[in-house]
Amino acid sequence: MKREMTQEMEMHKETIEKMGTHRYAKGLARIPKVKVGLFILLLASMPLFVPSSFVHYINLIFFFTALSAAWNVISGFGGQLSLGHSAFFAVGAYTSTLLYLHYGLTPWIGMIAGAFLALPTAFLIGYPTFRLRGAYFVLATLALAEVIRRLLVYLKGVTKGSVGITLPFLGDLRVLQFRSERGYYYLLLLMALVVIFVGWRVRYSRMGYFFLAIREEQDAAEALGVNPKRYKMIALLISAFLTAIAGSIYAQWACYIDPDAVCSIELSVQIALAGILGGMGTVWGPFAGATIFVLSQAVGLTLMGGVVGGVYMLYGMLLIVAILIRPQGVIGLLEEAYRALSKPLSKKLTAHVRP
Amino acid sequence: MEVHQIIQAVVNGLLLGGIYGLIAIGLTLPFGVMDIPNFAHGEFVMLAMYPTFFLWAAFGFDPILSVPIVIPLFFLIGIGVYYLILRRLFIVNASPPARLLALAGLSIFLFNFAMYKWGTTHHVLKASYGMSAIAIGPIIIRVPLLISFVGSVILTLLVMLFLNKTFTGKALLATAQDREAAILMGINPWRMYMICFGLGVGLAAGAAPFLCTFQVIFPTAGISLTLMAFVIVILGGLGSVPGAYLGGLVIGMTESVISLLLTPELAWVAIFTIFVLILLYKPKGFFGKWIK
Repeated sequence: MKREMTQEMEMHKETIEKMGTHRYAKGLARIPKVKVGLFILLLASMPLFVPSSFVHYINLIFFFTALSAAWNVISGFGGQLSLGHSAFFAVGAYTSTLLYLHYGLTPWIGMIAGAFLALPTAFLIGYPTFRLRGAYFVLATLALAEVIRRLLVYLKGVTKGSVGITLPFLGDLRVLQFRSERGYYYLLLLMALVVIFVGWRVRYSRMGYFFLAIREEQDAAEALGVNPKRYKMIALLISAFLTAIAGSIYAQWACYIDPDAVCSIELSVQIALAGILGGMGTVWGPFAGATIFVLSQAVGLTLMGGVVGGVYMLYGMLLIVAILIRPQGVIGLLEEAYRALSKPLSKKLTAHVRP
Repeated sequence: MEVHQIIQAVVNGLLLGGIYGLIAIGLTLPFGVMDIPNFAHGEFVMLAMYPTFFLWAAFGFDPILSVPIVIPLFFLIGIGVYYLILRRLFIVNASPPARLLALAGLSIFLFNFAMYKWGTTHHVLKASYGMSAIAIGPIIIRVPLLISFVGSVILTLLVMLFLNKTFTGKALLATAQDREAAILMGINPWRMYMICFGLGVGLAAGAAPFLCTFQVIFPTAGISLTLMAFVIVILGGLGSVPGAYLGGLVIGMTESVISLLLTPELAWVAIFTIFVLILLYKPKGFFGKWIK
């Protein structure tokens, strides 16, 4: 009897904790302003004391954080695995670049245009597949990426085919370019923070709970009046929109795009890999995952940069091992560590409100 | 554009489609029986092309003679992969997306392994009959395509005989239909899964020697084959062997006709359109029974 009670209490404890997080996240006012402020200050001042050769890696971390956080909206919260996010990335990169080169339109506006163009692209695969269950969505994302890649190669007149497009480097903020990696640092930091912020707002909104309900138990969610098709579609559209914006920024950062670079299965898998390593369906997982991913990439390139396909063999193994050993990602470990460290403190602070 | 050109394209497409069908059968079996979408399927086709090539290059082995070598070899490789990865996926009770991701990881590993081992250069296997053709009126039938088609028909019939006439094959189908009932009848589902995956990989490898006779060999050949095989499987209905073969013929024909009428690059757009239409109007495919 006693054991049952404790079990019940345990269950409730979890619910209460979850509700707690919900209320906690409801209003911006409840954010621990000092902590977040210090964190942002630290990030903002980082390029000043970090050697410039490292800044590039940190930029890559932010870049993959943004991409996998965008991917996380549909694949993590929505539970619909995508292995074709490079399709949306390519739509963003090519739209802003072509508008810029042919009409002189600044990429600031071009990236919004690209993001809006990614929406019908996403709808095209979301509409037929969200009515079904099973592996259909992931296959459709893959097929879409392949179709877009082949179209980009085929439409040589507009996209220059597999030769690719070289963008002029002006180093001007008006065309989303900076003279140094440090400039891009702030741009990519902003992008990563915005995408994480969107992910966080989505996760703790009413809609975010619908996503989770659909992911965990679609029939139950449907019985309670949540329309799975509609909410999966919303998650996909948000995800595609953000990914396309990252694509436009990438084009101005790398100054060169070609179908194999921006619309390849390799890129799609890298995005997914970073998301999985960190933890699917968590707000900060993409950041942790991107960090591990970029570091492993750097180590891999140093160790076997000369070996053809060496780094990708590493990715493949990393993916299999991650799924077999820790499918929930590493962010849980970090959270546990953080909680263990901050427990004594929070106990003291909340001691007077506990009965 | 003349009529006989279109007929020619249809014939070519049908002959090519036989091989696609064979590859898709190897994919549809594990998909239907154990709910494993083998994402690395095309990679096994690609990998099996290399031993075929090296046997030909070293000893002048005709690719057709490699068929009985690569099928058992890759059957064993499939069983190895089953024990290394798939069985563990079932043990940790991985969700369907996680299973797919693990297999995607395997796919990436395998084609980069091929790149590392054999380089990115294209290998060309010049079979003795590679350039010969038979003319029937204005229609020209290329001998390697004809041999591939006949080979695919024979292998498909063998698979169907195995599934419907042998005890193991029937047990496999029973496991696919109702796992619990099969267990109660004394069937070991793990053994069935092992055989099923080995068979799938073996069939993928069985298609490779035929493909070698008319296609170049390169490490990234697998990905588009995997995608095409998935479209075919959905077209034919998950887990259906005749459906997969028929779907292969349809897709082969589409690819060939679109390549003739428009350009080869747009063939993929057509295949994708077929995929979307099937999902919209007939998601169970031609012969779909088990939709999960």
